[in-house]
Amino acid sequence: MDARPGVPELAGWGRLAVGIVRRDRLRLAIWLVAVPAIALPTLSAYAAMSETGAGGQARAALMATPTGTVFGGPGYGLDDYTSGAMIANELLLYLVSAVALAAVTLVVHMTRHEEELGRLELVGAAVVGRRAALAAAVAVVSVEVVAIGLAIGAGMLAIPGLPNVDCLAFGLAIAAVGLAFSAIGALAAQLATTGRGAAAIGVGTVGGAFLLRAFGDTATARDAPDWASWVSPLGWANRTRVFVDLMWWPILLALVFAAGVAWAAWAVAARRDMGAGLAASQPGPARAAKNLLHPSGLVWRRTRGALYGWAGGGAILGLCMGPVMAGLGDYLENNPTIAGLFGVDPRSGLNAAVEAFSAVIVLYMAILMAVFVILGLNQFKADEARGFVELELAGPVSRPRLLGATEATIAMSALLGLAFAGTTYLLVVSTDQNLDPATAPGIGGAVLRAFPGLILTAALASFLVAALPRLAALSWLPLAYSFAHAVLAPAFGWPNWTRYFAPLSAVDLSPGEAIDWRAVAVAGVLAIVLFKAAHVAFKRRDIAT
Amino acid sequence: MLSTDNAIMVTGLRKTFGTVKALDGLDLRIRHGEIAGFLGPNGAGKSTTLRVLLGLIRADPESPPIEVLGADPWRDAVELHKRLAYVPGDVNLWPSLTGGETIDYLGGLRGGLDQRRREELIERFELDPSRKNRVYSKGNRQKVALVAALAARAELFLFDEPTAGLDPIMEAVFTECVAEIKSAGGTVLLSSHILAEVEKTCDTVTIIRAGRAVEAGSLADMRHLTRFRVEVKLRGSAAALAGLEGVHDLTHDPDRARFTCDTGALDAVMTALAGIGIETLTCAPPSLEELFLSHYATPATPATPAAPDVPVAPAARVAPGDGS
Repeated sequence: MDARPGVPELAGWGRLAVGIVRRDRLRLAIWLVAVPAIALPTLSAYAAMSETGAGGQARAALMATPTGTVFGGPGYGLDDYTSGAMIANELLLYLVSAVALAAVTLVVHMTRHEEELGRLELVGAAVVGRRAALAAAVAVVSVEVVAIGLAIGAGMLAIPGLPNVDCLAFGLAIAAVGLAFSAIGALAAQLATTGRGAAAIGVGTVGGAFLLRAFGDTATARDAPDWASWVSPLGWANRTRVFVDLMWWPILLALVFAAGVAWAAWAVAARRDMGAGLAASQPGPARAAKNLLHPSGLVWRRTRGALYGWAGGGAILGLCMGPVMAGLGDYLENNPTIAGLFGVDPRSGLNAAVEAFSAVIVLYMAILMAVFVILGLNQFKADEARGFVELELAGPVSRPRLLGATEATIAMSALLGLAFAGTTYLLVVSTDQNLDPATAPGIGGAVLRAFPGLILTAALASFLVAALPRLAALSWLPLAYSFAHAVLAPAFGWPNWTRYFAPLSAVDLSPGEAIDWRAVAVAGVLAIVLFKAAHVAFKRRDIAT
Repeated sequence: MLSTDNAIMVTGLRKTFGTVKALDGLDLRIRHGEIAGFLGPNGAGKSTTLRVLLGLIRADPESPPIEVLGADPWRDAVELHKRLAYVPGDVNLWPSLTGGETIDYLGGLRGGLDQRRREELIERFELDPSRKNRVYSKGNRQKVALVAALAARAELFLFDEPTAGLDPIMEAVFTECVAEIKSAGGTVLLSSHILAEVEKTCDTVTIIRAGRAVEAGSLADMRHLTRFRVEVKLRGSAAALAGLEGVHDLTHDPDRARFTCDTGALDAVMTALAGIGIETLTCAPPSLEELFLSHYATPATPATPAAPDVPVAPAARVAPGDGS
């Protein structure tokens, strides 16, 4: 339509970018500060902890197991496990994933979410190009991820024993993958019809990329080609072999990919109308089904898609990890030294390893479902702001009934989702003939042990939304802590009491450990108190407009 | 103490948000079977009032009790809401539901709608119930909320600017629906800033400004508060009009005069004019618009009698019976 669409279509993007920075400065600042602030001390601690010799090599042997590969990286430099090789193998993936999450959620927030609220329409009516808002958001987020990457790279120069060039490459690899995911966020924002949908596509892509490279990285142990890691943007950072045998071109690959996806987003943006996705909205039923006629029916209707997504993600995690477990038996038999690390008898050693590994898998599934819970309950706050809650409460519906329907539906869905993902995993693991069948109930038990934490997560989110809606975002904090605990506690040997600071880590999921009934009871009582407090507070306060 | 003749009985209602006084001693009384207009500029507190009447927000603790259909809306919200229906001012609907599903869901919360009435209303408002809420225009979302409310078996209807976004034909359908409610004995509180709508549909009107009622009564009563606007070309000198009882704001050339005239003094003034000799005459009866504007254009002071010392804006829409 226009031979040189760049100029008019982009008009005003600079002013828009300034506006975005001003509006979302808090969000931008949090990521920009938090990621390096968490990364650098951790990197430094790992570097200090690493020592060559027997200790370091034992760690390298652990990282060579499929478990180590799934949660670490492809394991470059394991034969000479220097502090740099260790950082790259065990931490780079998490930093890259964090920046990827930041990139997709920020871009979606700045584009689709704004569009959904109708604010972009106001902007679009002013003298700005049709796609200027998209360009502005991608530009702002690109600067953000590059700044995060460079901050990490620069900060690492201060860590002794790390070559400077590799520090820079480490930071640039994070930045390059961040750019790839900001482009993915931009494309997701064009494909979905809602901000929530776009965020789900974006975050789902990050999760998918994580699994894809897990599959690829473990393929080497099975003597299979690791193509999957080359397809996944999250696999590229490790493939620079930074601190081992540095190659720059995977960074270039990420940049080319970013440019390609950004171009695709740009092209799709031109083909769709403001407010619409790529697919036109289809008409639906003119009458409501019977099961929609009450509040829990509506909550179910609106969250089931997300439930299928998150529970499906958990199940895929189980499907991918199952074969890894199945391979673990052969692996331990061939590597008696490593079997010795888990237990004396290779056979019981396998069971112990499977149990410990399964507890981690189930915890990750529980974290996925906790994200579903927190998103679902925070939706209640958004619904209140948009007037949906007012419409419902103007009917003969009591506040406790409305809030309770939301809580119950979301909590039950989360438990079902976890049970589904856990069962999928259990079924796959059960195909391993080497495994003692007695292990299976333990894995099922780990799923049940995660229930109290998930319910407490729901209670906390519900309390914040009902009683202190302005602080609703705080419900993410315990979840972040649980995740950090899962990753860092074993590595740094955190004392046992540190687990009690967050719902999901409080109850030890390991089938080998006795059930911590005290933690279960405390979680249960706290959940009841928080639900009750939520209802009392919600009955007393004004409904927001 | 509180009269049961009244569907809505509010005295001295206060509501403060932080330091902002949204409602500052509002009085509102609506009898059963009455169609009551609730007029005020943006930000006057109309929506806040409706939300207090629904028990969605709570009046300041020092406010006297509120009675809606004999119940306390904060304490007895659920029982009360079985008997009333509400259409909010800014209708947002669940984007993934269709309009029909939304109507059924909102009806389902009340234990079901009158199905025949639902169909009839969808037809009359020309609503396509199979489209998703996210693709509806503002007017169509408004229709969805209106159908859901009007198909409810309710005694009291609270409408917050219900026709904003509707085209004139749909506005007329809404006016019909209000008339039907009235003939069925229902009560309506209609908040609006469209004067023509209130003049057409309402029996009484309460004008609010800055959180308090500045005028309340039947439309007939209120007209007494305003004056006729008279423009006359005379055969003789207009100067004689200056001292006349009931004549205000007089401006005149030798043979032309423009003034406003108290309703009660019209007879005497016309006689005087006829004595001088009338060449042409236009006399515009008082409209609600004048009353409305007179209250809006002056600083917020409590119920001073309406004195149209402010010229009517050229954009004035309502001038019924304008003889020119």
